[in-house]
Amino acid sequence: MVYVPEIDNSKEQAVLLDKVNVFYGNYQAVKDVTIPVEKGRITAFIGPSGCGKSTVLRAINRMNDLVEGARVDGSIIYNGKNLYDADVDPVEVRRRIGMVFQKPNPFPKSIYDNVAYGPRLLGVKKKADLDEIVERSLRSAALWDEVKNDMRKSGLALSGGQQQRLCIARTIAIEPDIILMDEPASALDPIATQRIEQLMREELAEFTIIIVTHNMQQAQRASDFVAFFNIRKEDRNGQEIRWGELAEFGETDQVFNNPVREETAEYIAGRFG
Amino acid sequence: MSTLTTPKDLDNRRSLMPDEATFQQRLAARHRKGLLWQTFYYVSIGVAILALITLFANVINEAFGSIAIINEIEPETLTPDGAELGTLDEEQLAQILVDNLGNRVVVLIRDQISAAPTDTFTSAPLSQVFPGGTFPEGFEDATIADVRALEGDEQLQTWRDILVLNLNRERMLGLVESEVVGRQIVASYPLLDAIFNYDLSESERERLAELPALIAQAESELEAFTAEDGPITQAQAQLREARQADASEARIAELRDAVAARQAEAEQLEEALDELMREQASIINRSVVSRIEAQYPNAEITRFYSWLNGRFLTTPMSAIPAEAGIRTAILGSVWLMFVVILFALPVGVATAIYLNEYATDNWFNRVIETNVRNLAGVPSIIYGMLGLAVFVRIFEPLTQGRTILSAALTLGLLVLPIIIINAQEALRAVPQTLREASFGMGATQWQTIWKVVLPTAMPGILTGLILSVSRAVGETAPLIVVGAATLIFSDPSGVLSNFTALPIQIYQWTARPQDQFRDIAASAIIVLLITVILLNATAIILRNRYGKQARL
Repeated sequence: MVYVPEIDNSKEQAVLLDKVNVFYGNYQAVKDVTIPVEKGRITAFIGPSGCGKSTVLRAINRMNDLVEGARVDGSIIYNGKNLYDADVDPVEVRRRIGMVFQKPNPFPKSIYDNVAYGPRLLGVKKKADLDEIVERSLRSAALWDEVKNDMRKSGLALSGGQQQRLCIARTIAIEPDIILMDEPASALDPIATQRIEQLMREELAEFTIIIVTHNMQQAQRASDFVAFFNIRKEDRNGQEIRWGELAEFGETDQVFNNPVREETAEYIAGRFG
Repeated sequence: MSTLTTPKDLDNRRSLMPDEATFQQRLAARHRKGLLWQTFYYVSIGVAILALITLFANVINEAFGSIAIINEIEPETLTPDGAELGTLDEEQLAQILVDNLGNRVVVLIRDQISAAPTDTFTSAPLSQVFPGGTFPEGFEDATIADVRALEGDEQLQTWRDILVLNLNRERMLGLVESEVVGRQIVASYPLLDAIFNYDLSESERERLAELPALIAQAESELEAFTAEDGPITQAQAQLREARQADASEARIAELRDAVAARQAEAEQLEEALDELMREQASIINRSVVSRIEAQYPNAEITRFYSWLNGRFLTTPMSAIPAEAGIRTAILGSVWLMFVVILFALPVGVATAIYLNEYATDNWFNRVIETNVRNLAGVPSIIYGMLGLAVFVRIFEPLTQGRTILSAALTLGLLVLPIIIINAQEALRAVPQTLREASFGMGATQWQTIWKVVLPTAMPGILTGLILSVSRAVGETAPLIVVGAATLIFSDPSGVLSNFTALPIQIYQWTARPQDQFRDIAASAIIVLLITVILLNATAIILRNRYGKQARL
């Protein structure tokens, strides 16, 4: 039986994943994932490589649509609406649910144009408005003081950590409801990583954040809830089939200090993965 | 697995690596093999550089060198007090033109100065023929025909004024030289001869000076020998007499031998004369100066003359090589380049965007992609046939037949696959993460392509474009098939005019028998090579700057 967490309906949910299955062609990558994501809090997805945590994350803002042959089953409820209904425009979904990627990926444009990219897409044209959005977003990403004097510099000229904060500023510039972060610190050094974690806790406190991470300490330090994914295997006609499943979900303290499942305890203790 | 890695098994395991001696032996062999290949690479680059140097040396050898000029009239006879032409002012030069050409000066004015079309030249008012008021006062409403009707001196006076008002000194001097003096380049020699075989050595010159006398002497000796009363005739007469007198066999034989001996002597003399003449020819052939002196005794010699000069670049085609230029060809090539870019860039980039960004992986798109790649390898003459059949014949109402438009569309088709492939390469080099970032911000596909993908790929696309344009500029075969005019005197005025292009001009000149066409062909080749090299250099600079940007 697939693990299904208890859903506490007294808390407001930013998004509810209900029996989400993701397929690539005929291959099922993730099976029956159910996660309630609480509004305004930080939820971390953890688990060994290949457990499907990134796949689920990318299903939330329909980035999987860009992969040929990808298909999502089940429902992801956002504002009472299933994001995979036929009448939902993925462009609108991504405007509401922003994403920060594993590798910093600023556009080869100036810092200013990077942050103003989203607002401009949405038709904001007035210079004064754009200036304000850029400053506010860069302040929220704790980058303003470092770049305010050379906004015309290429975004690619910044250091790795600065680039990632620029990407965060770019994402929050269009004021999304939810920010998805796909291992945002995996390419950064420990100090830059710390800045990002601090950012999530302080400047971005009002956002609902879902973060995928490989780093147990980071999940423990930075998140309010943890979803632990694990790999399941099955021998079908002599062929080994693997897919990912949600193994445990709960408040961070509970999952780390008092896991319900044996496999969670083993993973957290570093005995595999 | 676990049994193998126990310490006991490790102890018993024999190393599968070669032993020390074998290793050393093989190491030497490996280095030898490396050295062999390295030598091969060095030889290859050497051959390539040698080929390039030969190409350039050959072209430069033809484009520069010595020339011999002769004048039909000596310029000094034209000027007052025998002064040099170069020291005269405009009025004096105009006077020379009018004095020597008489009424033919009107033709000169029509061809060199008039702004009016040929058919209305004589009937249009002078204010139209010479815009900007460059005609004598009081002639506003007069026509060329009116001026012609004037009395002799008054008419010539008017022509002179028109010349002075419209031509600067340089052009006036050029006209005097070509129209009156009849300045003409009669012979040309390549640069290598101008450097190494320009003049004879002192001893050769002395020998050449004494040869005519020696030849004359040998000729007179030979003549004396073979004359009516010369030794041969005498011997033959003696023989005839002896036969008539029934002389003895021995006597006749003796006399016959004597005739043969005289004839042999004559042959020797003849040979000596031939030898002298051969020597003379060989000495003359040894140097540029001696050859010119022998052939054109009055010629003026310029040792180092550049066929590639300002006049060559700015004058139109002519049937006389020394007066021909490549302005029409350059303008034709520029027009072609312009229209090719206008046609091939949007179509090529759009196709690349479709193939790279929109096309799903199905058989139809795979067929298109494969064929685009194959089309890039189709010989250019086949595109020429296509252009002839489609653009020149079928679309004649649109393209007006053999025009710049037809040729440019043909060349556009020719370079389209190259542009598509390069653009696809550039689009593929745009990191997928940038597309994801844009989509992740809620951009539509169109916005992503227009605002992120295209700007990032643009330097790569432009590099491809420039490379394909440099290919199009040098293409000859399709232009010949489509029918570029080879002898055209007027500049192209638009996409629907007849035209010629640099490679066509070169092709046509190299096919001519006269030496001097080879010289101007080489000069045109230099212009074409420089154009292509400049285009490619731009592409390389663009690519390097783009690379630097991407590394930041």
